[in-house]
Amino acid sequence: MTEQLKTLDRPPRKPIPIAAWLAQGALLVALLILLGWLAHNAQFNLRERNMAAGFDFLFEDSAGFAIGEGWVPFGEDDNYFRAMLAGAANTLRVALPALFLATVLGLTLGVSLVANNPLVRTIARGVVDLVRNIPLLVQVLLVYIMMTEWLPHVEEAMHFGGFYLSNGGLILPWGEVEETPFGVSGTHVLSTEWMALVTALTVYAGAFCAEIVRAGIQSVTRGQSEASHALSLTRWQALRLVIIPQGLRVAIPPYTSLMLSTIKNSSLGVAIGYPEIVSVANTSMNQTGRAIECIAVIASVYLIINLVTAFIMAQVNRRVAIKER
Amino acid sequence: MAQMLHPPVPPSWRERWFRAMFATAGTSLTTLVVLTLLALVIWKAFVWGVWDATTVIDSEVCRNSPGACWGAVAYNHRIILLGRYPIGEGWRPVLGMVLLLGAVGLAAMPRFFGSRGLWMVVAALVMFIALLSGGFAGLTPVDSDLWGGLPLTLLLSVFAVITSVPLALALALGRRSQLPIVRWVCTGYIELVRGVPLITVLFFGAFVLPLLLPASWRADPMVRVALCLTAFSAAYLAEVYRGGLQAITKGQSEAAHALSLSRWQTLKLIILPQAARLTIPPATSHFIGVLKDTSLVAIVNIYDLTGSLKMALTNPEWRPYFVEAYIVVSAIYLILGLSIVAYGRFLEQRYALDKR
Repeated sequence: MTEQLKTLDRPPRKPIPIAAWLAQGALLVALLILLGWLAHNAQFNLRERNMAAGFDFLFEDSAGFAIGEGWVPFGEDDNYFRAMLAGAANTLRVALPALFLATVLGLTLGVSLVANNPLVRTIARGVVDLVRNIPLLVQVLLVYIMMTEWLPHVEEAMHFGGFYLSNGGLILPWGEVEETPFGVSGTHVLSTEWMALVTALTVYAGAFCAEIVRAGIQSVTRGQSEASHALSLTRWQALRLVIIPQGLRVAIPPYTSLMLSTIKNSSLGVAIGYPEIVSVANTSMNQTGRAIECIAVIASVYLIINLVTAFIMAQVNRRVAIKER
Repeated sequence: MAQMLHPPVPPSWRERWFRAMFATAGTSLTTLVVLTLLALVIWKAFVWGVWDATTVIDSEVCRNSPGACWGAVAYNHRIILLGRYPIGEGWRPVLGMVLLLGAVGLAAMPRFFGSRGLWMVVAALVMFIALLSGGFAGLTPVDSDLWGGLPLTLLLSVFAVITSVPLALALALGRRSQLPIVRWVCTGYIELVRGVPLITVLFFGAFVLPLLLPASWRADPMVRVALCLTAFSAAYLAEVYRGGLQAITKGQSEAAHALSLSRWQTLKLIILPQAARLTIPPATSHFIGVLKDTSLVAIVNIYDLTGSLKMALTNPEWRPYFVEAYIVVSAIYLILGLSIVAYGRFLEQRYALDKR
C-alpha cells in the first residue's frame, strides 16, 4: 500500500502510444541508414581520390606553413595540432578585446539611445541602425582596405612614443625594436589584420550591445526612476544604484548570445587572412585534403568555447538573478 | 460664473525638442558641442562627396582631385551590380530581379496574404533561376559560377528565407515534441548548427558535402551554397519559433481540446496564429540577418554583391576610390534592411492586440 501514498510533485506524463514509439523507431532507423550511406559514400570517394582519413595527420605531419602572430608560437616544423591550437588561441585573441571594447561602446551608445537630449538620442539611433544593417563582412573588408591603403608603407612608418604604425601593423615599444632602412620590425606586433578585425567587430557588436543596454534600461519601469528621483537621488545615482542592477537581469541572456555570436563572427578573419581557427583549418584542409576532419576540429573548438562561455555566464546570471528566500 | 478650464495644449514636437535640448546648462553645452561636430561632419562630407567631387570616368582626373571620385562607381557599376554575368545578357538578371522584387512586394500586401502570395514568390523564383541559367527559347546558357551581384544576393536571400520557414517550423515543433528521439534529433541539429559560424557551414557545403554524396550527384556549387544558407537559417529561425510557441499558454491548447479540436487543428487554428504574431519582431531581425549573411558566400568564391565589390576593387586603377564603392554597396544593403524593418513594424501594428 505504500506505493499509493507516494506523493507526486508533478502530474504524471501521458504515456506515449505504441504507434508513436514505432514512428520514432522508424525515424531512428532512417537516420542510421542515412548516416551509414553517407559514410559509405565518403569511404568510396576517398578511396577513389586516393585520400586518407583519420585524425592522425594532426600529430604526424609538420604543417609547412607559418602563423605570424599569436599567443602560441608556431613555426613551419610544428605539427597540425599545434597549428589548430594557435588558431584557437588567435580566435580568443581577437574576440576578447573586441568584446571588451564593444561592451564599453555599447554602454555609451545604449545610454545615448535613451538620453533626455533628443539630439543625442537621434544621432545614436542613426549610428546604431546604420551599423546593424550593413553586413559585418562588408565592414571588415572596408576597415581592412582603409588600413592597408591609407596607412603609410613600413619604410615610412608613423612614429610616436616608441610605437610604429604602418600598413604592416602596429609595433609595440616592448621587446626588441629594430630600425633598418627597409622598415621597422619588433617582437610585439599587432598586425593590420588583427586591428581591422578588432575594429570592425567592436563597432558591429557595440551597436548590438547598445540595443541590449537600451532594452535593459527600458525594462525597468518608469516608477523606479521616479521613486529614486523622489528620494533625491541624482540621475547618475539612480542609474547606478536602481536601474542598472535591475536592468542587468534582462540584459544578461541577450548579452551572452552577443558574446557567442561575436566569437563566431571572428571567423571572418578568414576573409582578410587573420590566422584564427577557421582560417588555419581552411589552410590545413587545402594542404591535406582532410575536409571532414578539419571541419570537425572547427566544430569542436567552437563547442568548447561555447560551453565555457555559457558556464561562466550562467554563474554571472545566478549572481544578478532575483534572490527570493 | 465658473470659468471653463481647458486641458493644456501639448507642446509641438519642435517645442519639446527645443526644451529638452536646452533643459539645463549641461544639456545646452552637450547640445552645442554635438551640433558643432555634426555640422563639421556634414560640411566635410558635403565638400568631399558633392562640392569637390568628380563624376567623369577618368582615373587621371580623380587622382588630381581632392574630392570623391564617383566615376569609379560609374565605371565599375556593372561589375558591382551584376558580377561576371556575360556582357549583353545583363537584362536577364535585371528582369529576374524586378520580377522577384515585384512578387515579394505583392505578396507582402495584405490582400495577397496566404498561399496566393507564396505561390507568386515561388513562381518568380523559378522564373528568375530560369532566366539566369538560360538554355531555352534562344537564351544562351550561362553557368552558375558567372552569376553574381545584387540579383544573386536577392536570389539567395529570398530562397533561404522561403525554404527555411517550413524546415524551422518542423524543427521547432520537433524540439517541443513529447517523443524523446524526435526531440533529441531536432535539438541536436539546432544546437550543432547554431554552435558553429556560418562560414563553417559553407565550408562544409563546399568541401565535405561532395565527399558525402555519391560521385554521380555532383551538385552545382551554387545549389550547395543555397542549401547551406537554408540549413543555417532554419536552425536560428527554429529557435525564434520555439520562443513564440512557448509563449502560448497551456490553457489555449486545453481549451481547444475541450472544444474537441484535433491536435492538428489546434496547432493550425489556435497555436500557430498566435505564435506568428509574437514572432514578428524576432523574425524580422532574423530575415535581415539572412540578407546580411548571404554576403559570406563571397568567401567561398561566389560573387554576390559583396563578392563583386571585392572583385571590382582588384583593379589597381580604381582601387584607391574604394570608399565610394563601399558607400554605394552599403547603401543598397541599408535600403533593403530598413525596408524589412519598416515592413516588420507595419505587421506588428496590424496584428497588435490593443490598437491605440
